[in-house]
Amino acid sequence: MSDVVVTERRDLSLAMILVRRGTLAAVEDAMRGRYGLELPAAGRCTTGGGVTLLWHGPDRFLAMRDGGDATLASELASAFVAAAYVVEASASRLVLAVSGTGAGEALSRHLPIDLHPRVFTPGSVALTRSAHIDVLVWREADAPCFGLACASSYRDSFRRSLSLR
Amino acid sequence: MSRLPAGGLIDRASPLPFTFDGVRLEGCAGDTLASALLANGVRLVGRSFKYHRPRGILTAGSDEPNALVELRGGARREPNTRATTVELFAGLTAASQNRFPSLRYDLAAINGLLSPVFSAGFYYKTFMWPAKAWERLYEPIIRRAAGLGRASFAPDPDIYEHAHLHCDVLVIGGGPAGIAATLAAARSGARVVLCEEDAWLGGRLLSDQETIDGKPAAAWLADAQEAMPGFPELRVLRRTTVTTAYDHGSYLALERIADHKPQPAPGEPRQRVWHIATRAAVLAAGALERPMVFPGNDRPGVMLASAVRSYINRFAVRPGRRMVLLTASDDGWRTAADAARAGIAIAAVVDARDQPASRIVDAPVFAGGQVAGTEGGSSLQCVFITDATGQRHRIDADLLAVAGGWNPTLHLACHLGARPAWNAGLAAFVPDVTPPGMLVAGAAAGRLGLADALADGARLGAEAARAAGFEPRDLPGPYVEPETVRQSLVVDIPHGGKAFVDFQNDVTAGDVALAAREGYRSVEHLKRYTTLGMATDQGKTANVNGLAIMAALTGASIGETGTTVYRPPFVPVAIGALAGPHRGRDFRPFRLTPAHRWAESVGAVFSEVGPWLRAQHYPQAGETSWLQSACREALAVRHAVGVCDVSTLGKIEVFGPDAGVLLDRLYTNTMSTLAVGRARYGLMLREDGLVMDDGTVVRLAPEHFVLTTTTANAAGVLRHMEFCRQVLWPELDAEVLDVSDQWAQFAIAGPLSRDVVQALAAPGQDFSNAAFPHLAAAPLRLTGGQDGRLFRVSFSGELAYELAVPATDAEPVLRRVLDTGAVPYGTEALAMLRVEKGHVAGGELNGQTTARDLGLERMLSRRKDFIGRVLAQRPALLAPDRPSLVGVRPVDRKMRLASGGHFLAIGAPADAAHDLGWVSSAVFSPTLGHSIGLGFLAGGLSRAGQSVRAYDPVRGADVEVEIVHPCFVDPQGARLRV
Repeated sequence: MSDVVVTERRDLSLAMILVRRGTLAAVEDAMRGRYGLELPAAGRCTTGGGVTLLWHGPDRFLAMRDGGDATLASELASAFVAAAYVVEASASRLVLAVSGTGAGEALSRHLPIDLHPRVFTPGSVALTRSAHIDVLVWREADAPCFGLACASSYRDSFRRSLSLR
Repeated sequence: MSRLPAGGLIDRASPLPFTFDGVRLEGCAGDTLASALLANGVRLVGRSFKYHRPRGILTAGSDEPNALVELRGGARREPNTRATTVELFAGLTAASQNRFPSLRYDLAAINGLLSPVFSAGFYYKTFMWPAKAWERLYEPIIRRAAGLGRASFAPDPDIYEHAHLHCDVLVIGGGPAGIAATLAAARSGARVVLCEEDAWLGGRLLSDQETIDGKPAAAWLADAQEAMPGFPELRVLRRTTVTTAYDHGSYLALERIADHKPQPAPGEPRQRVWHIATRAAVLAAGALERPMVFPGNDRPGVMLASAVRSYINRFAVRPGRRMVLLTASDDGWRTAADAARAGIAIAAVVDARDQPASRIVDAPVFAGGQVAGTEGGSSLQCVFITDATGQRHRIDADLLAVAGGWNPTLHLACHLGARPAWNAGLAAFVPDVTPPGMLVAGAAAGRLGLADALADGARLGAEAARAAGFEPRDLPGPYVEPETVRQSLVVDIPHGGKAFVDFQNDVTAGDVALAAREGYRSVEHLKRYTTLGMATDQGKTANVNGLAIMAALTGASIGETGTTVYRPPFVPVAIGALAGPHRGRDFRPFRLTPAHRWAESVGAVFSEVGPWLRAQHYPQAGETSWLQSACREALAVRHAVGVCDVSTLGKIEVFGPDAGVLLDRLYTNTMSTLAVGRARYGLMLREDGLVMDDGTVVRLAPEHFVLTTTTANAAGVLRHMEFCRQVLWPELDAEVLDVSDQWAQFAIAGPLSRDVVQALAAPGQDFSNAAFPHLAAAPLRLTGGQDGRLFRVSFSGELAYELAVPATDAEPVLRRVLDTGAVPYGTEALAMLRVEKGHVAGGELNGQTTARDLGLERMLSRRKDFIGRVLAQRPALLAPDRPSLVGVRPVDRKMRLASGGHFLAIGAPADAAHDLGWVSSAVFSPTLGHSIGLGFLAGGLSRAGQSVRAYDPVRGADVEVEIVHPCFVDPQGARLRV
């Protein structure tokens, strides 16, 4: 497990997408048209056009893009027009990338969910808890890497629980 | 030395020095502490719990009731550790316990002579009067005399880990049945976890001379272990005890990672708790041999027959030179053969059964006999045997091997609701049902022979894999010679001398008889009255014998008598292991505000508020008390401008066409009429009509609100809102989102606060009173380019704003605020300012108060429905004498008030019957120069101008206070609106 590397991703634009009632198709069209990206099914994520969409509950998605300019929310808002509420979230979360062949094994110390590659397949997303903190966890679709996100005010506490200082 | 010259699973080339009671001894790698003590001829290991009887080593496993020692020293001292489960390491130190002054000469052994006093139920009968003497005299004395080892009382220096495992098949126990089950399940491709308590796989195969497929069992064992790494989905956890079975395939297991080392490597956990989730489980926990009950059966040198074989075959130790075997099972006879092979003289064999086995042994055989007593002080010297004709024989022996038959280890099945059912043919309890998701294999199911264990394991391992959705192939198992496994439960009611049933709790056959005479005949009563089976071993060696004696005494069958069941955990688990990493600073997660680093850098003093660390005050050079700092900060707000980090407030955004309707139902006052760009104070009730929380609601757009909650109630309010939206009114088209972490929020308060805001804002934004009046709200562009939100709300009663900026911008923005001369203030100054204004907070919103109590009745809308409206009208909540909010100030202004004091009429007795209410908040008011407080008083403000006592026996205060309006400063609110 010595190959496990945890990096904090500070250079992200995050936006929360709350689909308005009855407008899922419009949001789908907008995502396809603008980013060539499908909306993920429950418990899944999709990546395309530089954007990763993480399922975050019924008709809710967390959108993520490299680059800390926090322009994603306004860009999405203009793409969706009135089909979704888009909320700027770049400062709201600590996001960690956990990579390496032993990453799943290392995370099993902390996460109660089954991370076996047959179960938590690439592109899977789960909302769960670690060290009494709500976390969003996903397995990257195209890289041997997990993502973890929790509320940014828990940053120090969460890093401590992972023995990161 | 009693070490055999050859054989065993110990490594003679790796000698390990250790000490017991300060004496330097030497064992070998592969030893347990118990086997190493026996190898050194140490037989007296401890003193018993109640009578301080000399005790030795009874077993070779985790069922040991006698050989309990204090292991290690200093902060790592661990009392009541079973010497039979401690793997020896170089430098191990252990000490006997429960003895004074020494193990050999223990003064408290006189308790044995006083035993008529200490019989079952002795506390209830003996120490009845005087009642006061119990706490002061009897209990301390009994506690000193009884009990076992001593805790270290130092902080545990070790770390403990929790981890999760998910599998298809969990196999509990790595003996022959468990190994067969593991291989059968693993071959199907299933994810298999095998947990074995021992450091070695093999179970009884390590201790018995068995033959599998015509070869020694060790060869089969080696082949099996060689095959295991070939299954990538198989995980074998050694030194891991499955302690608990929960519903739905959840199990808890304790892995002892570093207990076999002097101390853990740096960063290495001492133990790990595994939370295991599995689709199917195979319980292959084997069986535990039971002792027999006869006078003197606890003398060092009396040992279970299976343990004798373990010490001989596995540890290459001769536990005695001359042995008597007492057996009630065919299996016991094997001990005679193994002992003879190890050079132990067989002095006699007593087969206590009505139908004894006929085996050839070079020793006198007493068929149908019984052991009537033992002699030898702290080490066995001779055994008295009563033969079938009643004649008594004295046989010299230093080892008495006892084979009372095997009890299936069905504990984990009981955790899942199985009851032990008496199987008369087997003379043992077996699980009455197959618990959900659990298959029971081999000896744990009462199938005691090796052939059955292997066959069961292979069959049930495959069945478990099938249950988990895999398709195992059935492979022929290995060939094992069939054997007879006859055993009986022999119960003689012993006469003369103490005959122990429960060794760890010192419960004798006489105690069971006393319980029977006194009517405590149900097994549950027997257990509680005598403490039979209530020690840390949960009666593993005791329960069946105890209830068998009760059955014999009452003329009932064992089946009719029944048995108690087992609770988790299977073996004692250190509290530290259960706590895992969550202790001290990490007991629960903590939250830091975006400006925390800055506050730290200026030397702020923090306090815990819910999960948050908040700045309490900001001491400056020359200040000697928190009060001095807090007064300076509060006065800065009253006279100039201050800034307070209020990022800990809950912040929730509400979207949608029905957002206003949702908020109308959640808050007592109307929110749907709020204009865009305006803020309103709001009050929320619980369904029961009591106040839940307060905060501000701001409308940013027609379908977009943002509200704040108090710091303490943030999570609860969010949960409540989601419940209402998702469950109560799913028809409402409204979305709720927690944005607490996105936004840092600063209160900028004081007569000069407008200047600060104007200085911060990018040009072209007007914050004059006319353009941005009290309760205005708007997005704000800062000179640094950041986008924020500005709300003109006030908690301090001064002209004030709350500025929200993205958390990542918090520090630069705060530094800009400070550059304008604003004074940072903490929660102490915040409290002073709000109490001066009579604003309610945590002390008042304590979950017991109504809007009416708080003087906020006008906020209960009469034009709409809202949560809590109906139940707020309950008569008791409207009772005129119900305490309601008042302000108080000491009549003698020099006196200090404290919250928690109770109001009493002047001259009334200080008792609950005369209680008129309580002080909910108290501060020193720097504006007024004396203490002030808020409280709830029967009659409320109708008593304004009167005096009452604020009586506080906890803190020793008794202050006469004057009842006043709760708003002490600027009651007209003129300063808000300038």
